[in-house]
Amino acid sequence: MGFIRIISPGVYTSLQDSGRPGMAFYAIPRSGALDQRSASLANTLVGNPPGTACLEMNYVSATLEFSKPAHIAVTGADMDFRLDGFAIPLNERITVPEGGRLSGGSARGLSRAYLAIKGKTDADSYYGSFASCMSSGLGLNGGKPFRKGMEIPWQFLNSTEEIFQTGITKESISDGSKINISKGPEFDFMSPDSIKSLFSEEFKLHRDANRMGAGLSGPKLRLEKHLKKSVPILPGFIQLTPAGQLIVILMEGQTTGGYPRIAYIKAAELYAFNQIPLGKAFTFKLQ
Amino acid sequence: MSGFIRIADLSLRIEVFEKDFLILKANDAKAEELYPLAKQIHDSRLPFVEEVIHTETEILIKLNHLFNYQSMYQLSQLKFKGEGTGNQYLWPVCFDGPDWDRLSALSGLDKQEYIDRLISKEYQVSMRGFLPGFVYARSLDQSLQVPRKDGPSQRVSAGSVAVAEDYLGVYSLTSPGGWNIIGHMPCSILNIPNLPPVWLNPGDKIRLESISGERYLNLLEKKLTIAEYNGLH
Repeated sequence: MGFIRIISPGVYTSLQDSGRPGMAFYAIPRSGALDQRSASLANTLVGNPPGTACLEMNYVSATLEFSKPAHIAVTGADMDFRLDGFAIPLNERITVPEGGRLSGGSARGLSRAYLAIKGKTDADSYYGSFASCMSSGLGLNGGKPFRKGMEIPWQFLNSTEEIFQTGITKESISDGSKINISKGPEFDFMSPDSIKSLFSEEFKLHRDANRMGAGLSGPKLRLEKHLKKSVPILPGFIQLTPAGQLIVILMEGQTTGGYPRIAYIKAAELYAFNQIPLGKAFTFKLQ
Repeated sequence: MSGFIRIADLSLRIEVFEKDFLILKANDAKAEELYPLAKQIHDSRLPFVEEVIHTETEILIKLNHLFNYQSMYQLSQLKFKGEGTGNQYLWPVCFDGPDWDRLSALSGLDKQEYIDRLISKEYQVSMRGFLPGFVYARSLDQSLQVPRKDGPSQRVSAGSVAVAEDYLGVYSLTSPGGWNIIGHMPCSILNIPNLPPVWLNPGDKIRLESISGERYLNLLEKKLTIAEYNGLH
């Protein structure tokens, strides 16, 4: 068995797969990759099943060392990735020698990158998934992001057999300047002028956005009605707080909440929202 | 799209949001009848159901691509019966929360009077939710009801006992949270990695016990679960 050593952790680098479906009944968040599409692509490129655990990096690349030769692929945000100092392309299968070092810099254009490694992790799984989930304390190291010096146990597969890459689409990911949303259960709780603002003005991610949820900065919206009781919520739901702020619930989000669910982003489109870089303005469009 | 559906002898309002999710609301049904139905939907593993979330007023079902014209019929054919009576739990709480100024200002009661009224009553778990280890219990006396904060606090520490509207709850994991923190409990209600991941289930009863800071630290050191503290394990 081998491992991947964390030389420098980057920002909130963690192990992610397709998460824990079916567990919301027990208030266990789904978790899993914020951009499932890029995570699946990375796995497919190295010949892993699409839902295999891979590394998710945000805004800045981690620096990693491989204890054994490995087949890897990096997808999602361009973080100027390098193997032993030499630039490597995104969306390609790459062979890493024993002791090889993957490094990089800041993300350009998008915000999250995925590193798939042929084989699988030997970490413990919780409720059928390896996904780190800080909000529920599940996953490697209690769901906390990677730290310098950590070793991620990995069973590297180095067979030289041809990897059949069927049905791989490498189409570019939307830049997220327009996010399609649908009306949520409490859409009508917003004041008419706020509905107008929602679809005409620009929003940005608030600095404290994390894997639980992304607060937005933008026009202050107004509720005309409030919820008396907490109601169910799913990743992609957009809440409006009485203080007038929009919050998009993400993969580690809570399963119930008391703020009106004014709209939602469909599961199949959430990946595009999750790739919006900090500071970039975007608008909402009614689907 | 919205309409009505009858499941067993419950009449429910149903709202379908495209092919993404649907919401069942108690129509003439009482709120406590929703949990047995939610549990049945979850346990039945219907092919078109990806997630089931129960709250006091709603059951939300996240749909997958297998949702079709037969799905409503399958839902309407479910059979279920009510849950039995639950367990009784005593929660030891040190009332040292950070939100007493807000609570006193909004309720008009001083801290001791608030606590006296709070611990004189029994509460019933009405739902799970939020994150693992959070349970919603009710009902707080009218005089103790205070709204949620206008926006969530970024960091609520593990073991924080909180109130909002007519609910009492506990944050078992450190997380953001919008409820008013009244104190801390040294015994965890978590039961990870089992299912359910918490000891308490809807229907269980809770009474609060006021403990000193010294007893809090003493119990914290013993690392008892709430089941062990109550001799239920």
